[in-house]
Amino acid sequence: MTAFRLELRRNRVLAIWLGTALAGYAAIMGLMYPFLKENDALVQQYMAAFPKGFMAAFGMTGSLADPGVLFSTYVASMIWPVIAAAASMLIGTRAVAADLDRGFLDLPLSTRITRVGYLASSILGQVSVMALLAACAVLGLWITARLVGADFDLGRFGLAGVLCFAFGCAIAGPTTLLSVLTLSRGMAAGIVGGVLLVMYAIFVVAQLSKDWAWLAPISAWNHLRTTEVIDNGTFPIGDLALFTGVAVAGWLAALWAFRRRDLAA
Amino acid sequence: MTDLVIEAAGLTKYYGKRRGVEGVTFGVPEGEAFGFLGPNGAGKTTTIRLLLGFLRATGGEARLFGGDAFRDAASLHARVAYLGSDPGYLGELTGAEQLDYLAELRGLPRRAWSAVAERLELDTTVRIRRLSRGNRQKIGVVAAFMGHEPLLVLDEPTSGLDPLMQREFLALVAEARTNGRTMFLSSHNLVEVERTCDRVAIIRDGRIVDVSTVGELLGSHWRSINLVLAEPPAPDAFDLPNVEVAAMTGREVHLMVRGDVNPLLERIAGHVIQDIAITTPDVEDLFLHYYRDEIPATTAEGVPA
Repeated sequence: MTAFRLELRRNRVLAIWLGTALAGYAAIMGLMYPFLKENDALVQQYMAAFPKGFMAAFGMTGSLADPGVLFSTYVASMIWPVIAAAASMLIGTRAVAADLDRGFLDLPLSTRITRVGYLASSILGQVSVMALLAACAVLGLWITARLVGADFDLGRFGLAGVLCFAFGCAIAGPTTLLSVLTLSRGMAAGIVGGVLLVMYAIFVVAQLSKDWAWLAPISAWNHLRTTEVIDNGTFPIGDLALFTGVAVAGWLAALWAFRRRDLAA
Repeated sequence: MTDLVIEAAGLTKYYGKRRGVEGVTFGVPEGEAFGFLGPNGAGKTTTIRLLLGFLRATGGEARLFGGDAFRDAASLHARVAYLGSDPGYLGELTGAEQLDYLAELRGLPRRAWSAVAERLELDTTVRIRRLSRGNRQKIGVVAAFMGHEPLLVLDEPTSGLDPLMQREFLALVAEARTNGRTMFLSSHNLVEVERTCDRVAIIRDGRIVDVSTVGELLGSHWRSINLVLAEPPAPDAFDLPNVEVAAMTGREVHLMVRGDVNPLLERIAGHVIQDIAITTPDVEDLFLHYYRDEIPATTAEGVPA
């Protein structure tokens, strides 16, 4: 509990800044909603100038007057992956790699706390931050849209938030594992960043070319189907299970590897 | 063997192809203060990290209280207080918050550190990032001595402390020893080890080159005796085993003696002495001896260089 409390404290400033940025951005999109809805025909006409696959790569699979498309375009496909990746890289690599490098890790590990207990408290801290950020993303847009008269379904937005949360955790889990395996913050973050960029590129290519559409399932972006959740009310259990599985597998493997990891700085 | 609080047997650690330590073997019985001397890079910190289970040995074994230092680390650490050589305290915390955190992890009550902090005149209300190096080191010393764990592992404990605080540190060590606590102190400060430890291991290039009591260490090395006699002595006046005449100029004689000094003193007593100066071997000289494999150099005036 002591280690978890310190984790929360260490995450506090980062969570506040990222959460504020996320909520602020989402809020601005929410405020824009009445204008987008009022000028939907014009916006649709403008969007028609671009290849359909290109727009789909940015989450624009329909009218921005639809709340699901709005959320996916401006939040889930744009700022959320960036913020979730940044939070994962900063917090996920800190518990082992960065703390070993700065000489902090020896302090808790020289006490009676087990390695598993220590890393588990850090993982719980990551989960807390990701949940807070997902809430900021959803509520930032939902609240302001509500203030300007849009009647968005909070339940559906909440479920979209759950999917976003799972997506973030699916980045954080493997990041933590890489932090334990490499003991290098730069290397772990670099690998995660590289894989995410490749996945995004695959998603874009798969949208643009039917020949490459078969690649889409290997991209995480393909499984972040928040539009369907909000506009159709269907919850992609399979995608949620996939994200959760990747996250939990990453964290469990990190805990297992950390038990016997040689902490050579 | 089970009475040993610390036991290293053929302890070896390689970082890839780079040598950390090799074949390190020693034992520390309960209640002993054991010094671990060596310059930077000799393998002191690697040995400590192996003893605390942070590193996995490439070969040999490290045991604390009879338990495997790596496998049983967490349970063994309940009996260990550790001060690292360069701990990375969290700059955003105050000293009090950092110490409370460590106290709670060690199962001690909050503020368990207050009495020691007061002795070391540590202001615990300041954020750690604003503290000087010396004050950060005080946090480590306070943390090490705030509990009553039977084993203290101290890596360069007085680094950055001013002389007054070093004296307070020595007092804390003395109290710990009175209370029967075992101490493992790594240092490159020979005087510190000489003042605090019963036995000393000297590590060089990752290998232990000597383990002996501080007294033995001092006794087995050269010491310097400068004499001014009333009359010039005979050239063979000091021909004795383990005695070297480093310089003899008229009535002034500079002798180097190793081991038992009594035969030489008896021989000196046969002369009328106007002045005598016996220099206890400088611990720095001892250290250099291990590192250079030679006796201390002597100047033309007969003064150890």
